[in-house]
Amino acid sequence: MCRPRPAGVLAVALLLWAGAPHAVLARQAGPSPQSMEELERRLEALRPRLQEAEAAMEEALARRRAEQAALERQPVDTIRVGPLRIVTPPDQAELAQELFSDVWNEEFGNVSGSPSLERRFFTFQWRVRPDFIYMVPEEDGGPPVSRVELHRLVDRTRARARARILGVLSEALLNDFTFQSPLRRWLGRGSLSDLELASAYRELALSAEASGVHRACLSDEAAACWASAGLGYDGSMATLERWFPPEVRRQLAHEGVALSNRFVRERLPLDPGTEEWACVEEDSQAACDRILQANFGWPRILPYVRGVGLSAVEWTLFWHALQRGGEGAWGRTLERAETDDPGDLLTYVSGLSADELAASWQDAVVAHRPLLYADLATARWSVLLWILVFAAFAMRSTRWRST
Amino acid sequence: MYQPMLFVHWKQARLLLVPFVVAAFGLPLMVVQGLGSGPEGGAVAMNAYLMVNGYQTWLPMFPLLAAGVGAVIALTAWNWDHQQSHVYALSLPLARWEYVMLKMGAGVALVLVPGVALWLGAHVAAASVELPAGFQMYPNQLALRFVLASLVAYALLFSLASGTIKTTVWIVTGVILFFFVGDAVSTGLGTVIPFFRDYNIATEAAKWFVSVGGPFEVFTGNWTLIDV
Repeated sequence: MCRPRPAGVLAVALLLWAGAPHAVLARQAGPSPQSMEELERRLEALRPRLQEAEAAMEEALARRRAEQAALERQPVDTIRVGPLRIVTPPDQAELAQELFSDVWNEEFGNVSGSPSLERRFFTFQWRVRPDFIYMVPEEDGGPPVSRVELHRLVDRTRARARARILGVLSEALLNDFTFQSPLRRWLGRGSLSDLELASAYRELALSAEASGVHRACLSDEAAACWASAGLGYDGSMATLERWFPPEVRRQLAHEGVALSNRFVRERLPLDPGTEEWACVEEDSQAACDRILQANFGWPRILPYVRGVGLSAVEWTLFWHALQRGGEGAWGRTLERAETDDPGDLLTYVSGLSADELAASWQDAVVAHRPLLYADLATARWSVLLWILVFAAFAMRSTRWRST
Repeated sequence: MYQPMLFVHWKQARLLLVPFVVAAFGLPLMVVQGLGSGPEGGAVAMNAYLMVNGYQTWLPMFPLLAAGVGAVIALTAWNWDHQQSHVYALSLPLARWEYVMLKMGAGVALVLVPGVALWLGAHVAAASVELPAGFQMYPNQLALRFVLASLVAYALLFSLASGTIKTTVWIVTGVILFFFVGDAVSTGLGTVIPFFRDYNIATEAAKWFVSVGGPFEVFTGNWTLIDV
């Protein structure tokens, strides 16, 4: 075999390199308008062929994905729990039925006619090493899928598995409402994982110092509970004065101003002479009070008091309203969720007045006061037992017995 | 007989215990560092959740400290016996079990030293901050949990240290092997027996150790000094 000489290769490379600037210069000179038109025409002529090629490529890729999926696919069963369709390996079908039924019957008893749940499939596995359950992707025409694929090392208890199922079902259920619906905007970014009444208690209790409204709620004032959830209050200054000391009112008003679109998004300076300017720049209590009075119902202020991103109060209240509403409650929610103010919606769904609903929710929250401190509960007895067991082992010394 | 036993153990352990006692007293103070509402009552309390997250970063230190205390007291308990080939122990007019119980009792008393330090530290910490309404300090519960966790660690290591090094090596190796082999065997069986796809012997054993009724439950529970 003849191998190219290095000198020859170098000469060819030099020639090519020497020619390159000419080619670049020629390109830089640019085509004339006529040739430009010609180029565009030829480019247009190529477009159908490009589209054909793209379609062929998509088809080939889809075929390849399907082949790959068929290779990876494991046998699955589809079971039904209420309106839910659950795809699961056959050996997990019984477990899936049990867990989904528990969650559905306990938490979703009043949910019926949910369009998003009826459309959706859920996959379920709870294994040491979950396999991949193939479902046709939505972009290839498959149904929407929510996955409950739990790892036994991480999700170790049934309670944890149930909580994960609850969270996934709630996220799916939220799709019944548009992002613009007042209900969804009020609920914020949480999910039904925030459904624990104990979490709502913590949210209120942890902010009770700063927020007299939360303190009042925990002390049995139903109207304060309604206000705590950002659903409005009687509008009087006297109520605000009762709930918040002056410095906290000023701080809340500052937050209200700072969070306004004009200030945050456009970063415009405040106009001198306005109420906002007097409150922020002059620290005027009267101006701040008037701003707070006008904006207290504004949903962004109360979450700030409670802690940004926390929404257990809203979620538990919503869910409580559904449970109190009984049969058909979800249907009533769907009926008005896109139009009604959340407070009106909750009273409509539950069939109770605002005060009755808030009082009932407050009772439930207080009954679930969490006890998470370093309490030992039953551990102290098992600890003592283990200490005795270890002591008994210590009494058997191999060294002494051997001597 | 108990008193000299306690005295000998104290002499062996006291220097090693000093840093643990200091840490036990100081840790609750570290937990509450920077907490509490200021005189104006505003910003700190409003960010209560941030506050909770802030002090929770210190919480894993409590079980670690308890384990350290247990280890130091357990290892020093048998130190002089091993050094003198158990001659002193054998010369005593005591049965083996009586000797072990006295020695163990001495160690239990020593565990109380860092335990009391932590209890005092927790009370000082509780008194040093003015927490927002709704929060509460739980210094007694925390100190009790700390003492019990230290006792479990102490009892376990005491029983290991009471034997020969050979026995201890066998036991520790056996436990490590159990976890490795258990995991490998379960994985292997999982390929042929569906039951083992959901059941891993090593995982289940580890879960049992730290779950309700297990020997290390007290370590994995809640160590929160402050809560609602």
